[in-house]
Amino acid sequence: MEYLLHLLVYVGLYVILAESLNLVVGFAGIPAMGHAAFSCIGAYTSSLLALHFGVSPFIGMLAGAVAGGVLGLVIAYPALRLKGDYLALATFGAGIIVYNVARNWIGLTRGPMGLPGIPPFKLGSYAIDNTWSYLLLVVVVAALVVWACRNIAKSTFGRNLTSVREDETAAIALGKDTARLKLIAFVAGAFFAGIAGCLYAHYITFIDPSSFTMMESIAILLMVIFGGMGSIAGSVVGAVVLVVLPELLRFVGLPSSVAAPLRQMMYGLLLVLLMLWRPQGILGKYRFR
Amino acid sequence: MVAVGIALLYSTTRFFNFMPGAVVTASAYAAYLTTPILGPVGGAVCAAASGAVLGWASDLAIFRKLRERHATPLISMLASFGILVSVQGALAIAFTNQTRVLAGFGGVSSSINIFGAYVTMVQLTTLASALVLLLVVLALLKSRWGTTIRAVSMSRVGASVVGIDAEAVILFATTTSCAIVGIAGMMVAADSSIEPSMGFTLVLKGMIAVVIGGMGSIVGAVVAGLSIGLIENVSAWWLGSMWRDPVVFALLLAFLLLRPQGIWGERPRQD
Repeated sequence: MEYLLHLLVYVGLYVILAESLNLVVGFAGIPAMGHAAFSCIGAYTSSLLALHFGVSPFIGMLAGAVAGGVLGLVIAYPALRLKGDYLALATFGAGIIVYNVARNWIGLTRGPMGLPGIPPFKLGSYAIDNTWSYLLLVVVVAALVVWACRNIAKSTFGRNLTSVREDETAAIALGKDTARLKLIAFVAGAFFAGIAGCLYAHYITFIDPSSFTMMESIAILLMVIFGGMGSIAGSVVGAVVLVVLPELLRFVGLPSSVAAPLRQMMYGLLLVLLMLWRPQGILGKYRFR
Repeated sequence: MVAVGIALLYSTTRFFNFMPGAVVTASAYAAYLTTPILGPVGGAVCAAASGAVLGWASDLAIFRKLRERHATPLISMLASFGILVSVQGALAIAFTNQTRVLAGFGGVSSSINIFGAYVTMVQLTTLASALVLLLVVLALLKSRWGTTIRAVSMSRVGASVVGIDAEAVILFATTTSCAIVGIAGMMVAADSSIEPSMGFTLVLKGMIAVVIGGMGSIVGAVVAGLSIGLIENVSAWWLGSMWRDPVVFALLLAFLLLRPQGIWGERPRQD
């Protein structure tokens, strides 16, 4: 039972990550391959604030999200001048740089040793440190993020964004500031990813850079592509399926030394198959150009 | 050497191909299995052959279909990335994540003192074979085959119009470059060690070399590959070895943003 709840918390976290990336990849059509970087900075920001200054994780969450957004701005402002696979490679490189900084700035992040003993969320005097209450918290935040993304997608801004994705030249011709639209979408996605990182940190109470590798970014991207780019429900489906599916391997009784690479192999094959037969995913209407 | 393979691949297929990463790792393991039995030369042949087979099969099974569907560079790039990731996973299952050492090369003990610097036999062999391969590739590009490869690289449709079997040329170029990368994989394995994630880092470095040297310019890729090695070591000495990767990737970003065509490259395509 505890295991099931734990799994559901993970599903919730990945729903936030996939939905935030969907905003960038699915709605704005930006092929971002370094999304874990933003949850990384979110996680470290709020953990360090809580550990060194005793800041409440709720405020830390906001700070982490803002830090994610600022990092998004720093990366996106120059990178969005590129297009297509060049842009993908640039975000990929940026993700690797962030990972390496987290691993090598020992003075701040303790590098590969990680940050242990991150305090849990507290509501008044009640600490949210069991899986039940944490699940509730994650579900509420995930629902809020999904709701926010849905509203963003349906707003004038969201429809302008879709027009940029479909035909940027036409959007420019209609007087849209496409560079600004894409920038805002990227920053918003990074902001929400920062929230997810913070939720993760205060749940596990230990973080180290290995949770934010490029494989993680690719897994999130795969969830978005699998579910369907530009579909709010799609990203939720993608996150649920791709978190739960590898867990089924546990019940076959495979040792974890085989399960982890097998999960990686499954993700890789799925990516190839999707690109071959259904680049728009299950529920998506859009595919990469 | 990896950079040459990547540059050759890029020049015909026009997308950032992660395949060399898969090939490097697979060939390293092929060499690991065969060298103790067949000796270094036999191991190298097997490494090249396994690389060629992997390249040939992936082109037939996946990339040819993607080309038929007019997939964009981005889709092909993601597909090649998927191949890299799954090959890496498969090898991790077969050989575990443990680091392995390629035996039968004498190791560090057989090093020669040149101008006060110690160079191992492996590094010398690598350098020599890289030079030979580079000359072969450059000669190849001057030959009739090379002309057709360059024709396909410039315009696939145009080449088809004048009677070149573009698909066959791409298949040939892919297989050849994967064989080269396969040998490179064995050299890397001999110089350092073998682990499932080795190809990933290597292909990224190679890709950076291609971006900096200029897309489609093979000489550019070689020069950039060497300079990256130099920059890596200088920055490791100057800032500490842990900042080696960030420096190189920052270099990639700088080039992508300021000079996406690289130093010797043609203008990047507009799409």
